[in-house]
Amino acid sequence: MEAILAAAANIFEPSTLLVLGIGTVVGLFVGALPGLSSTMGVALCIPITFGMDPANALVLLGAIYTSSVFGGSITAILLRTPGTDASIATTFDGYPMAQRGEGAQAIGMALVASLVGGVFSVCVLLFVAPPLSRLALLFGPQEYVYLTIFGMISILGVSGGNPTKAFISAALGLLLATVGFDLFTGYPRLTFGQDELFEGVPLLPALIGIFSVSQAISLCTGEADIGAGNMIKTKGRTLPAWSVIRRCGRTLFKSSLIGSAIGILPGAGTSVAAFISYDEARRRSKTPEAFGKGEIEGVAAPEAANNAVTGGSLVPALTLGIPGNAVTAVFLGGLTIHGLVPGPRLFTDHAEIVYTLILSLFLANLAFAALGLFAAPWVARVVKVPSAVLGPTIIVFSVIGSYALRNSLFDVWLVLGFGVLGYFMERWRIPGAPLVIALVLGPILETNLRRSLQISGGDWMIFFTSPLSYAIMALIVLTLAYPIFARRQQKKREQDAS
Amino acid sequence: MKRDTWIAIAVMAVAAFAAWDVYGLKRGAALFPLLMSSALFLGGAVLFVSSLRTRKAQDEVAQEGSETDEAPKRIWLPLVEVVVLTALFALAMPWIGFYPATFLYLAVFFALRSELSRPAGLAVAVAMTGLIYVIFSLLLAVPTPVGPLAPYL
Repeated sequence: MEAILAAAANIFEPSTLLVLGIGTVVGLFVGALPGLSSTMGVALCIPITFGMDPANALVLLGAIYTSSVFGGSITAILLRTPGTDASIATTFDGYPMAQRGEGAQAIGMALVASLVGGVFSVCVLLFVAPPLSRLALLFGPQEYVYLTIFGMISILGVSGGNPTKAFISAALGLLLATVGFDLFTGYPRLTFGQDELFEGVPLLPALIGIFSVSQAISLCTGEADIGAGNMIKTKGRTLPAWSVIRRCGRTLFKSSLIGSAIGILPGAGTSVAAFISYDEARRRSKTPEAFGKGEIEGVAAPEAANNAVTGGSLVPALTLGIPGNAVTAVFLGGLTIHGLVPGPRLFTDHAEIVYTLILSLFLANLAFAALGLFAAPWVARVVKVPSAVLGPTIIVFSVIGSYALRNSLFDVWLVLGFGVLGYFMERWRIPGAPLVIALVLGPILETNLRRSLQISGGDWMIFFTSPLSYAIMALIVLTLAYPIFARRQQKKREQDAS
Repeated sequence: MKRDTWIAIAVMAVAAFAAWDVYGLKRGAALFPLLMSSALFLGGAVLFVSSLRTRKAQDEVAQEGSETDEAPKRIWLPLVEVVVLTALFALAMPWIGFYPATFLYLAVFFALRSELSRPAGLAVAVAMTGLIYVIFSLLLAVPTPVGPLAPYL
């Protein structure tokens, strides 16, 4: 309780409020720009946090994460160009509303829904994370081995596209995570005589390279052109009438619940939550035929859900150190750079910092709502920035950001190398997120695997001894079996229908 | 051979090389990298087999102009241009300093690859370099490379 009170005092410090405001503005623009993602925004801003104290650094990253998810909906509604994949479902009804001259109302509903979803998920984070971290203190190394495997499998399951390629990406990430001195024996591994690699592949250049430079190269070559069509002008009252909010209340609550739950589960992200909630809202609606033609509930459902993912996804990341998606993997990178080790002890050793982050997320939600209310049409104009200007500027930011961590030119080449790798991975439809998440999870997996084997004297049966291990194993089996079960069910339904 | 077949071969080669590199280490140190390179090799092998099995089908789809085919040739020239320019930027940085290199990189880039007019491109390059200087050097005090040639520029 003391930590919460201290955190509450922290978030109203002028420096924290300033950082929060900057993060919110940056996040709105990053989210609104098609081609730039929340992950990229958070990754690019990590170097900016080097000189800050850890609490303010996390506040900045949290604000960018939260507001970028909402930022994407502005261009989705006014231009039918979702800024991030989280806002794709918002275009279904948001854009038809804008075409009918109800763009302001659509943005207003997106704003209210994002606020409700965001605040709901922060409450989930506030109330679920501390008890989960206490439970996680009971975990031994073998449970952590299963947890990391569970995280990896979940991510592979929903990364989309070819599962073999996702597996290759994850395996490559885990292999890269072994580069550097072996923590147990001190032997250098896969360093090829490079002193700079003795401490391992630095996470920051890898994150920035895969998520930012690769995207910047696409912008530079003109493949990811952000030039959008004509923006529909907004007019009239932005905030929806109370009666409309009341009508959408059930959808808002249900979508927030779905979003938070999906956020907690590793793998599924904002876009999955938005689609599921949209579908659920349409199925439960009295007028399902109105969906896709400018139904305001069709804006409320995906927007509440995608913002509800933000707080939910931080639950496993902060309490277990297991990133559920690419953004939280980057977020964990930011955490470790500031000397904070994600995991159950974070809530005891650095409680004040963690609660400052959690409470600041409440403020970040309010901040983007307030800003969005007045500035949405101006934020949408950001798409007019030419790709050929944005691309090289992002590369310069990435270069200075990666250099700043260790003042090393080697890291500059590393970030560019990872950028080219990420670019080709995207072209060849190999997802980059499993690689980055594996880079984060790799050391946790190896350390705990070898620690378990040391405890047991090399006996692999140690992994089949504790009830907690069995519980996580059951989750892994369920995760692996569910897609097969779902496919069979769908086949059966199709056969029945035919 | 199709693209995926080449990717699979490259993946298997990387895995085999990594396994060979760590094989001589003490068993404990080699265990995890060996496990991971085996997993990577396995992934490559599965991709190799599946790419050969689906080759015929892909050929048919490619003939119909599907997106699953190789990258369009026109993308290579701008890509090489971007990569070479960026590599020159990284090479110049330790010699002429970060900010002069940034200005030159942006100015040349805008001149070659954007639709901005020359004066507008130069103005944007100056503005962007100034903005980066304000953020990183003045506000955040981030050290940047200062090259031996910087005083002469």
